[in-house]
Amino acid sequence: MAAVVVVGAGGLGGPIALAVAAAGRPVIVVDDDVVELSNLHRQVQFTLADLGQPKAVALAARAGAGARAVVARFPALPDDLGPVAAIVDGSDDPPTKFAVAAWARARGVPAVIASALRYGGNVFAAGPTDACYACLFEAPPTEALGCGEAGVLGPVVGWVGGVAAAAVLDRLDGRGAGATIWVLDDLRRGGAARTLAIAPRVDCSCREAA
Amino acid sequence: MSWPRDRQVRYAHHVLLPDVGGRGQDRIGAATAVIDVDGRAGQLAALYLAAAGVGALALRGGAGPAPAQFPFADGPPTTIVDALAGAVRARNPEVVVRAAGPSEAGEATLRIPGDHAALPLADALARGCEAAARWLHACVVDEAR
Repeated sequence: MAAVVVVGAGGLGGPIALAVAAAGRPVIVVDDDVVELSNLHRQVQFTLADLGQPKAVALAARAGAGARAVVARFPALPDDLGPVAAIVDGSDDPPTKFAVAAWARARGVPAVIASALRYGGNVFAAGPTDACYACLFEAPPTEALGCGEAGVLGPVVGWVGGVAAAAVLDRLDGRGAGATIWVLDDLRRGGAARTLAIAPRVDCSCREAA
Repeated sequence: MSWPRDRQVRYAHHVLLPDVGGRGQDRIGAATAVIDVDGRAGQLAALYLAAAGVGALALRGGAGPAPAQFPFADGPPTTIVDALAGAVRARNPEVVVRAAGPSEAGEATLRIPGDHAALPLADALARGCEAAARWLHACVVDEAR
């Protein structure tokens, strides 16, 4: 069975990889970071015994026999990756999100891009011919706060990660079509969950390639 | 804020948050979450609240066997309560895990609608963690809690 590549083994990548693995899909976890104490308020896939270990290795071990670790920074992937069914981004880095979306489009597989910050987040999902991530967000922001600068409430990453995992599993099971974004509003303003269909942007580079 | 260095590092991403800060984190640490853990979403809510530094988890239910696919437990399958207690101990040993007393009940119990033991992990994460996040935010802003 083709694998789901999960980029980032932290607050988002952890729940995504575990939920995809629990659904019986092989997982390839890509991350070049190590487990630190400041991760443990939200990255429940790790224990105190994992401190200092490569995140990808510790997460793949917890996800079970069908999981494989790649200790690298995306897009540095090994040549023997094998068949890939979909890719999910759980990184905390906007340029990486755009790179993951472009990688998926080039390989003709679905992409799911998850983001969380402070009290909310969003999850973007698209097939390879749908509107792309850049149709919506155009380009990586020149300045963007990450969780390390702006903070994140611990369980918010599990909330967003669960929605992202469900989104990729739906795509792989033939449910869900077209580009979609789930917006999980800031909890301080009610935390509503909104689902929006995204149409292609006429001047996006993905339309020229289509 | 006169916290030990480990505590400052562990909760650094919370302390940065508007509404939380050091005072809010202290309130989380002084709070007890009463949670129904018979379903998977409740179990995940409990685990994330423990990671977030809640002072104590008072568990309702959880006498049955831990689910075979509870990926946060180490060691052989056991009861839900024992698996959760072990998982919490391995992540944040300062958190007290105990059975809820008869006086800890009613409306304060965190019970997740639609939760059950066979909920797919993705759905359990989404539901349980949303509930846990709402509980935590209420904990830091609600003076009466």
